[in-house]
Amino acid sequence: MTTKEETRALHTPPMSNTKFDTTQSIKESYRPQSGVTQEDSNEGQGNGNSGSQSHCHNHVELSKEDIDREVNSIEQLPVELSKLIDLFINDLKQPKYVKPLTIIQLSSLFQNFYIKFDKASFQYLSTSHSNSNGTSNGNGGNNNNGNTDTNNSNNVNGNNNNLNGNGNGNGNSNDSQPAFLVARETLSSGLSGIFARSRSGSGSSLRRGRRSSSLFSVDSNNVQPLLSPEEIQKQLRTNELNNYKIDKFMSLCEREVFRRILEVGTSVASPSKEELVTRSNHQKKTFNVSSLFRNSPEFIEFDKVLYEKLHALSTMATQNKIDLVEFLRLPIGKNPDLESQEGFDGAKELLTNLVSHTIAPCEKIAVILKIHESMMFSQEMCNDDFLSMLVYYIIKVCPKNIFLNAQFIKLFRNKKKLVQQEMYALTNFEAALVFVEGLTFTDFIPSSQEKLTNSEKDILQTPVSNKISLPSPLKNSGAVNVDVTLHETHPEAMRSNSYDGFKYAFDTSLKNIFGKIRSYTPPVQPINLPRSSSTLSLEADKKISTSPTRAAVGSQPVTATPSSSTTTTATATATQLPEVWKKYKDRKFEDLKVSDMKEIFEIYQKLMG
Amino acid sequence: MNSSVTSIKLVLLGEAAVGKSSIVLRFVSNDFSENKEPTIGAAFLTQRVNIGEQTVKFEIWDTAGQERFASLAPMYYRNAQAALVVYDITKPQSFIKARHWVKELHEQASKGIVIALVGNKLDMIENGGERKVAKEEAEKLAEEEGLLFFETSAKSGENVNEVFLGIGEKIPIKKPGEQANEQSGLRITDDQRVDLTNSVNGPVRSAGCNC
Repeated sequence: MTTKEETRALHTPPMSNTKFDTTQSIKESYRPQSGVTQEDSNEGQGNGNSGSQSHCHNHVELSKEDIDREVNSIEQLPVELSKLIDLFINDLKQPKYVKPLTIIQLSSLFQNFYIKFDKASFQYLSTSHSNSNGTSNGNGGNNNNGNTDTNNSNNVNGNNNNLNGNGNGNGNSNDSQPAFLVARETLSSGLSGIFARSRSGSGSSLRRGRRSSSLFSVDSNNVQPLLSPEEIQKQLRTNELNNYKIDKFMSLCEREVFRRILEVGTSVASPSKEELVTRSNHQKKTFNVSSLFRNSPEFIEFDKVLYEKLHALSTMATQNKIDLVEFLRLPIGKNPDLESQEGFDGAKELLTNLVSHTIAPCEKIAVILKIHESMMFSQEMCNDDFLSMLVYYIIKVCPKNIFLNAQFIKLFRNKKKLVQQEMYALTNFEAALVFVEGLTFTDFIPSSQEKLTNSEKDILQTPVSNKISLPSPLKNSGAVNVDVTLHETHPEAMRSNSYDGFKYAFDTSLKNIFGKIRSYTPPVQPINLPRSSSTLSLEADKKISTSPTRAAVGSQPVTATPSSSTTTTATATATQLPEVWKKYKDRKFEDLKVSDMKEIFEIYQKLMG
Repeated sequence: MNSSVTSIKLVLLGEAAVGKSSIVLRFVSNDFSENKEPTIGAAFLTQRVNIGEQTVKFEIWDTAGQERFASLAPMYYRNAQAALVVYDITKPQSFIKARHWVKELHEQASKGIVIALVGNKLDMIENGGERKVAKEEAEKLAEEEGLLFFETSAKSGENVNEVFLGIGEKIPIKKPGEQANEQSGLRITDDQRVDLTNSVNGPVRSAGCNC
């Protein structure tokens, strides 16, 4: 790490510092010309957000060559970051969910992972040079914990408190040490730094964008680093480049995650023979998104019915029963080439790419943007033109799994990046599908209607959405929310589901010990875990992972079919637990009396016996 | 010192051929600065404007005006902070449609959405064409519904910038301090952008802890 980078850290006191006046903070990356004013504004204060939002502000001029050289040349993730993906995939593969995850739950796991990965990338870039300084890794991690957002300080979490203490202690030593040394120590990271950071990251994850303010913990009230405009400029450049690099890492991450999933398949450990067979038959090159949707059959059903409709419409158009050009009022006057074979071939290729030749959501959304680009015959095209052409091509080309692909992008594209034109293009695409989905034969002119066969009329009887209702993400996220709240209050307990059932009955310190023994699992959080059944997994846990019990519980796949027999077994056993045993499940440890604890211990013994 | 950039999602509504995209193209090409950010024809455009000390970045989303696509509009105005409801002052039908849009927005769009009612094609009147929608009538609607109201000519550029400046000014400006402390709120900065609907995204976001 360069000296400038270290000094920049000194501009960034923790948000939790009461002396920190947020009104004084600069809300975006520095402008080149603001070097002087920035120093002024730093008197006695820091700037909370420096560098963190500069994805969107290009005040620092970076030439294309710079970006090419520094960013586009990156073709692989650094090992440290790649490891996070391994951990994530491993964790997804862990048979730890009692109920198969719905697609929406799965999506939130991914989104959380992206957030973590983003943070880890930032840390990696800001600290990759400082590792050689030989500062202790664990310490670095601890310090990072000290300055997490104020939200964090509300956590009932002994571990966190300890860390806070540590961080503060270090920060206060400013007086006696050269400032930059403290900064260096604070910044020291390595993987454990990243992990430790992630552990207590519940608060900071709320504020995705504000990286720097929460990542560095130095009480810089007494320090007035003097930077020359050149130094600031250089610093800004580094920040800006780092932001580009993070973007690059993020897209590599998305690719890598889904490539890896394609490799390992979507089923969880100990697959049945049947699955093995299908997997070996599985074309490695093509990624079928429907495998991810296995546990949300309504999506697959919707896709199927929509495809039937598309197919019927496509055939009707080919047989001239309906005039799509007229029906959709294609801007044929503005663009006579619209119906040409060339235009059709282009669209067909792109749509095929979308459904079969791309894997990662970021690749798929790029194709959708390309489709828009390819349709563009004038810079002044309004959305009537785009939408009608999009509907036209979708019907004409009639690609399979198109609905699932759109949903896949929506759910698994990094939300931070699914904005602006990406979001617009996806919305357009979805709108085109909604339009098709809602078409009924009565929408066509009477002369067309007369030509339709009965089966065609059947297919075009009602909108698909009348037949199949999809789970509303709103409702589902509500359910997730419940768990998340628990999660934030008892972060250590929630790291693994295995002792979920006991989490209220154990002291937090105990939890910490458990937590430390267990290997770190990245961003996965338990969702909708029926608490009653988790006692089973506790038992299994004690018997070390390979025992038969473990296997039985273990085969609860992340993406198992709902009818999976193991699921039923687990649920059945779970329901056999006497009701009395469950009465403590919602209690807080602090509220327990000695007699209660005794009873819990008895239950525990019975369970073990 | 406050120079944050605030993103405003603005959606365009109105019957086909009232000049929605012409207004936007005029606004964007008039330009104060080079607009190098990627666009999708005239259907998706961005434009930065300085309003006071604030820089506002408009993300302009066009919707299809054809009646058959009307039911898709909610997909576009979801999470929008502002809407431009455009009608053609020489076409009464387009004003009726505008009324519908205003009503629908009030019922279904984000609360606090800033709506501007815009009567376009002022130049046609100036060139001897016949006005079919009285200014008073539109003003009355705007007053009743709490809308901004402008009559514009996308052709000449008259009043076009005023529409957007008016919207930018009407969207509540958060003081810098509040921005740091508040998660919610209509106004979002770039780093918060996805989070407009706290009810939807909130849980997902806060699910970040993975201890």
